[in-house]
Amino acid sequence: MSLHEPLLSIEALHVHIRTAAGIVQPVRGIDLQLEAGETLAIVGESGCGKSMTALAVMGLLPVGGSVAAGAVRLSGYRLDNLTESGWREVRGRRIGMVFQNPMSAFNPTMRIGEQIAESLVHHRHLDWDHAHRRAVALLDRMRIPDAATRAQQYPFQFSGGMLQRAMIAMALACGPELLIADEPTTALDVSVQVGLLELLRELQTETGLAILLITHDLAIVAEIAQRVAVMYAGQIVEQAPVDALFAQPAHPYTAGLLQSLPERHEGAGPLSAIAGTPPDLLQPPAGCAFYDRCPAALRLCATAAVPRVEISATQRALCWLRHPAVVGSGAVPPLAEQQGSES
Amino acid sequence: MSEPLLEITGLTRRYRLPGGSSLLAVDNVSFTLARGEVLGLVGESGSGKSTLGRMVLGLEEKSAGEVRFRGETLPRRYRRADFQRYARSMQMVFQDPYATLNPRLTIGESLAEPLRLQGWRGDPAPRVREWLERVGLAASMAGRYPHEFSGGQRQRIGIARALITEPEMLVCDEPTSALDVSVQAQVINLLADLRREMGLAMLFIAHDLAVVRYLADRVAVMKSGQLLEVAPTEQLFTAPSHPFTRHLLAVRPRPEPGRRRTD
Ligand SMILES: Nc1ncnc2c1ncn2[C@@H]1O[C@H](COP(=O)(O)OP(=O)(O)OP(=O)(O)O)[C@@H](O)[C@H]1O
Ligand SMILES: Nc1ncnc2c1ncn2[C@@H]1O[C@H](COP(=O)(O)OP(=O)(O)OP(=O)(O)O)[C@@H](O)[C@H]1O
Ligand code: SF4
Ligand SMILES: [Mg+2]
Ligand SMILES: [Mg+2]
Repeated sequence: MSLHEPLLSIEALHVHIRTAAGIVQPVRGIDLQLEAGETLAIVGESGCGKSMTALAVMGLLPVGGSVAAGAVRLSGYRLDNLTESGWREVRGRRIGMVFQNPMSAFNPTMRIGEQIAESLVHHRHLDWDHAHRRAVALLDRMRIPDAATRAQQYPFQFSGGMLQRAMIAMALACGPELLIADEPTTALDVSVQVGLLELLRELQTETGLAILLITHDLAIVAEIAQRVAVMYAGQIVEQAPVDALFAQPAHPYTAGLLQSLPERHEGAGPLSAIAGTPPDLLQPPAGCAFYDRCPAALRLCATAAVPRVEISATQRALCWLRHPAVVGSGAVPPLAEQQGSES
Repeated sequence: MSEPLLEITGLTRRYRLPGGSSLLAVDNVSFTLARGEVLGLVGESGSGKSTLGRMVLGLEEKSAGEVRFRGETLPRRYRRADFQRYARSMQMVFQDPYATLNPRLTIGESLAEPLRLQGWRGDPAPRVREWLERVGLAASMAGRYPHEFSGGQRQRIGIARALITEPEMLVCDEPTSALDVSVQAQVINLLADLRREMGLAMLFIAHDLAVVRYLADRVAVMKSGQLLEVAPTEQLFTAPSHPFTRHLLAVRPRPEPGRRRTD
């Protein structure tokens, strides 16, 4: 094999955040690879470290935050030790970022059109007039009605979904190779969502755009992702092609998540949810982080470091259940049964 | 028949656009909400849903029209004392989880604030802990500041803050958009319980049609500032009358990779 470098490679990434109460560990050893033209979705529990992973890749961790270990590479080129001037050539130009908090991406005192144009002037060296016309065209392509007029407005005058679309326009403005999009569709109606997905697919075929998509919306995942990484308490607990993930989830957290879809709810009772809460990332547990909530937990899960098991050539899970030693022995009944037989 | 809890008539909001023209963000909207009822509000992004919700709560001036709550006409423009007075009965969960919490207060202080404003005596701490847990957060988080929380965690703090005073009516603006489906289910179940146990009424704004279908009794559809139709939930989903509603239902993505349209 030739020396193939994936477009984006995240290797054993650990993020630490210093706080008054101690060190929070929102990302605990993440490995991900993304090829040109591909869409990888990251899903997972609220607070599990998805945004911190994206911000670490972009070198934009909050105050007190740092990459404690691991590496991030773009086409083989180390990002995690770039200088600020090095970053200027990457951010907004080679990587476009859609932030979960749209307001943080915009200057509140500057017109929307001007902000998008500025990035084109800076990275693509267009003159202002030309850049402005491009900005309006981009807003129009994002289905902002009356784009020329709206380009002259300030962020607070946009609705939630209009600002989200403006941010996507800004992230795509300079024709990046990689789009990192953190919850980009939460304020979009389904019709605009479908239009956006079509646009992204077009860009992928035309330019080979790769997309790292963080979302809670499993319908969007089903529509656009080829592969899915499921995160829980700072780790990737399952990685699979999209069809396998929905049809045969290998990790109990993934199964519980899919079970909670309102679309899968039947009858009049309450919606199904995974009982309990995730562990505090100030003190992550030694064994499986999902142990307290797992309906299939084995006794060894509480203390033994959990192995990463290959379910197939393309599907992996961080779980004892599918480990050959457990599957082969047949000797370890689920925790519920163990407790039942002891009493 | 008993009087509706909330009655909205001809509500209108006009904004100025650059260049001198104006925009009817909310255009002559009327509807009612009964005690313990959930009215889903769906529609086009930018159609005026958040503006409507803010006007109901007096957080935005009304250009025209009227809001009646328990038979009383609410002021067109609120004074300070009005907020305090009506906050007892009506609360809002805001669409933007990043803009709603005071960055200088701990989460515990933010949650205790509405209690204090309503003359609550005694130690708010036990109640603060209870509400953090009800939205799936650890009680030990009360001492942390907003910037230490993720998007979905902040959204849940906003929900706890709106519910802690046990209002009669809640305007929820995309209250679960930043939550994974399991935590979303916990929050939706909580809202459904409060409705059943305490008669909590809700104006529930959301783009997630499956959630609206589960929770709402009736659904209203907005486009370009106007209310296109209001119908009982099952009727709206099975026999929508307006072409725009039919369009939304037809194109909505589903969480089933098999039925993806192109690849
Ligand atoms: N500045 C900070 N200081 C301390 N802890 C933080 C900080 N920012 C985030 N955290 C913690 O790190 C964890 C991961 O946060 P992150 O924002 O990555 O979550 P997320 O997966 O994006 O969640 P959501 O889906 O709710 O947006 C959370 O538990 C959060 O409480
Ligand atoms: N402060 C403001 N000044 C000027 N225009 C505004 C202001 N607030 C809202 N608008 C405009 O009013 C219209 C309705 O906005 P609103 O936020 O109510 O929409 P929405 O239905 O909540 O949309 P979304 O689903 O995207 O959140 C939009 O065209 C918006 O640009
Ligand atoms: S390792 Fe054990 S506790 Fe963890 S998810 Fe697998 S079965 Fe459940
Ligand atoms: Mg996040
Ligand atoms: Mg809105």
